[in-house]
Amino acid sequence: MTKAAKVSTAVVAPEAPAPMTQTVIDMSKQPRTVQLAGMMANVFPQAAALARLGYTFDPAMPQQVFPATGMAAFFMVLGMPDEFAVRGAREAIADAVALEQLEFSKAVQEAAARLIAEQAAAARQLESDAKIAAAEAALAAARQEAKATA
Amino acid sequence: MSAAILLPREVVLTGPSASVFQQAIVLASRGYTFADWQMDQAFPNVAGTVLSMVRGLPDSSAIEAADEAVARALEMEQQQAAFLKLEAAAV
Repeated sequence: MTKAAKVSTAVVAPEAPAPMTQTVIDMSKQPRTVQLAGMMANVFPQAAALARLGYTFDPAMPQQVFPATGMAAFFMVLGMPDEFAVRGAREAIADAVALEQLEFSKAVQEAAARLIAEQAAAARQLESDAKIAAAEAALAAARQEAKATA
Repeated sequence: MSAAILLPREVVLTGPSASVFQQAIVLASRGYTFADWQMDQAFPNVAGTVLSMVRGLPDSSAIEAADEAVARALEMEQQQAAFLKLEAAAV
């Protein structure tokens, strides 16, 4: 027995390298239902974390949210949302993209209008500065001429 | 959903509670999390539910708490399975 044990130790392969990632999920070891209950600020982010593990809100159970107390409770089950929900989410994203693009183009237009107005004001200022300089030069010349004739 | 789709910073989901919460799961799996400053609008009622979601990940404490909830649920399901097995053996 002891001899065999010694032999087996001698032929043991070097230790296998550690896995590259520890985020591999073994679905067979996941519970079917997870209950979350507590403060909304805590359970909603937990629900988002569970969604990334393959859970969805249990369609058979109502989601209980109580804004007055700030509490929420819901069950999450293994599974994916149905096609209807995927389509709805896609539409919501498209709406949000359109809204953000609208806001962006509005902001660009406002910035362009502001830039044009600033450039026009600067041009007006330059023009009036030039007029003042010309008037001052004319005045100085007239004074010099008057001094010369006196 | 196409991976090439533009992802806005914030997405607002409105509609019947059952539909909105399922859509929130779709968004969560695509890199969104719940906007914590608007959670109080999530009150499911007759008029519907409003949920705001923003691009981002839940913080580490939420992930840790979710892992703990999973571990508790797994333990409970294993206990139930063991109990059912014992019960079946007793019969």
